[in-house]
Amino acid sequence: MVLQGQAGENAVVGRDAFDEILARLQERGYAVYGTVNEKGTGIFRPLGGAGELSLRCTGGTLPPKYLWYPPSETMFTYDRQSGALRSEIEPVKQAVFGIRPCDVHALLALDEVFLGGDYPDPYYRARREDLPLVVFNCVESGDTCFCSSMGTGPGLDHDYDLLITELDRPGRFLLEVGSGLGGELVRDLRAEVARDEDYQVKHRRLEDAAANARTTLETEDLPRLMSEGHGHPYWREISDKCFGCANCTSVCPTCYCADIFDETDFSLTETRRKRRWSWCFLMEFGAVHGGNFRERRIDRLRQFMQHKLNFSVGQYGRFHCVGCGRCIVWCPANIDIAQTGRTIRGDA
Amino acid sequence: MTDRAEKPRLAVFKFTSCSGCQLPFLNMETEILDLAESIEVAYFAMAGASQPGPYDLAFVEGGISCQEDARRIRKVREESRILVAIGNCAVYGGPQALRNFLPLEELKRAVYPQPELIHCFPTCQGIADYVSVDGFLNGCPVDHGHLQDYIVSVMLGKAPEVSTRSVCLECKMKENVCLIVAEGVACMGVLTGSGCGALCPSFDRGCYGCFGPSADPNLKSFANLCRELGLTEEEIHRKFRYIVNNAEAFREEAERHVPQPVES
Ligand code: SF4
Ligand code: SF4
Ligand code: SF4
Ligand code: SF4
Repeated sequence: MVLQGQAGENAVVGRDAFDEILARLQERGYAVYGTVNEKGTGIFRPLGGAGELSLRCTGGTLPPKYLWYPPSETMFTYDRQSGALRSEIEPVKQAVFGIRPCDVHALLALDEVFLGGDYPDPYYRARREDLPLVVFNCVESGDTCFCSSMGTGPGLDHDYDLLITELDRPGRFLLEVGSGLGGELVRDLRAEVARDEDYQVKHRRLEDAAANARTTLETEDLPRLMSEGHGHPYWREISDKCFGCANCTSVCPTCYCADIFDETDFSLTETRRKRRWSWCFLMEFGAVHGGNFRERRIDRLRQFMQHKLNFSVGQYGRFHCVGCGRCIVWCPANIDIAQTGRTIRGDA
Repeated sequence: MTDRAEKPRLAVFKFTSCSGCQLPFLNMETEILDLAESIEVAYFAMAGASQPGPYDLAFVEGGISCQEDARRIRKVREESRILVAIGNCAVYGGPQALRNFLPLEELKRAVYPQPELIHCFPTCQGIADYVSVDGFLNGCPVDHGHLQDYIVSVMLGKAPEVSTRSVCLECKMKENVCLIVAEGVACMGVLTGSGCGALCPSFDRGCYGCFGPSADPNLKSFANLCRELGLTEEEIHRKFRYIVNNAEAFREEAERHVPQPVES
């Protein structure tokens, strides 16, 4: 068969289709990023060819969040002589090839933070509006993944341009088209017709991945139980180990806090107002005139985890932990948010 | 310079140190030209300026190690409106503060052919032990970005940004793979203030702690981690008796791990 390029279409393709999709994204002017195996993990990098893509779910170090919410950016410049303000917000064309379902859910959570409400964030919007997503479903969970507990994976059924699931044989993939743009990326591609059995394989593999998840957390009633567990002795136990290094929050795909500051050159002609990622785990985060409202490490640790497993539900109606497991992997003190949730709720 | 009629007068002084913290000024290259437009470099021996005080902003490199240092730092204090300690030596006493933990006379004999010619205090200390200090910029050496921010902030009359982030965050932004997690290396990045751009971890070396303790370092947990990674008490001791040995938190942690007697 030949793909028509319509939303809702599907087919079975080989890995060679990835090269074509990547090439078409690049032709359309997108900088395409994907996870590349590097230093023993998957790292989001600009992709040269589709052959570089890692097909295993590895989480990596930084989530792809930096593409739509950069670690540091200039909001506007201020000419100190004329007093004029200049803000250059240019639309950015980027695409992610092989983003995972948990990271798509994290993106949707950030959409609510930055674009929901009366004052949408223009910087975020400039990077978000044109952001094709080629999603890889996870047919195998990593050791610290608990997306199946958080309802964010291992499969996705919305908000993708293209959705790719590896079938029973390596090199055979079910391709599902989710949007008009997704369609354009595969129009006229030669492919096999997807049969019912292919769908059965997809569903079985995703169910297996969920069933075999090595990290789990029951979310039923979790916010209430977390609130009640505010004084649980486990907080003390883990904060005694915690370095307060903020590695955990720095790799979290949903952390959105920032610090705003000014930067001026020696000539004193121009000031740039910038924002950069900041986290509740930092001492400076709670430093206000006359004191610090979160001076103790235990309070900073608890704020991080309570925000993810409790407060976010009250604020936005969804958990801001998408179960990606990155904070667990990269914590040098082996502190584990899923374990904490289980312990506080009495399941451990 | 529009905000002020006269250019502020800048001074850079050196005490007991290796001079490495003065180099970031000289390395500013193009910025230094802009700087010279807005500021008067009144005293900076390495750059050939030696005008008398008073100074609006004085940066001090080096620790206080002898009577002459002590006399001179008091004079610098009197002549300077804002006095800032830059680098490990001025902030904590520097690598040479290692001598604080050993008997001075024995050390003199071990190092110098004519030990009787050496006149120094038994300890080398940061300048805040002798005079009041308005700001501290850590590092071994100090970070150029921190210096630039401090100077500009003073010129604009605003508070400088003083980050309390750990080296780990610079490490993460470089997408390094954590050495503690992946290699079992007892990297001190988790305890150490940022500024170096995670230089050593980016080359697979554990952090040596050059920028001194971060805002709330968990030393006990780090010592436990070192033990789990197989370090001996002596090795843990030496981790804290190294580049930044005289910061209170590191000094006290070293004392908790069996100091070894020195051979003389
Ligand atoms: S990564 Fe671990 S040790 Fe570091 S702040 Fe987070 S919980 Fe604490
Ligand atoms: S809290 Fe941890 S597991 Fe949850 S989304 Fe953030 S990094 Fe992932
Ligand atoms: S966990 Fe902390 S840094 Fe992350 S979004 Fe919540 S308050 Fe901000
Ligand atoms: S390698 Fe060192 S500096 Fe980097 S994250 Fe790990 S502990 Fe922190």
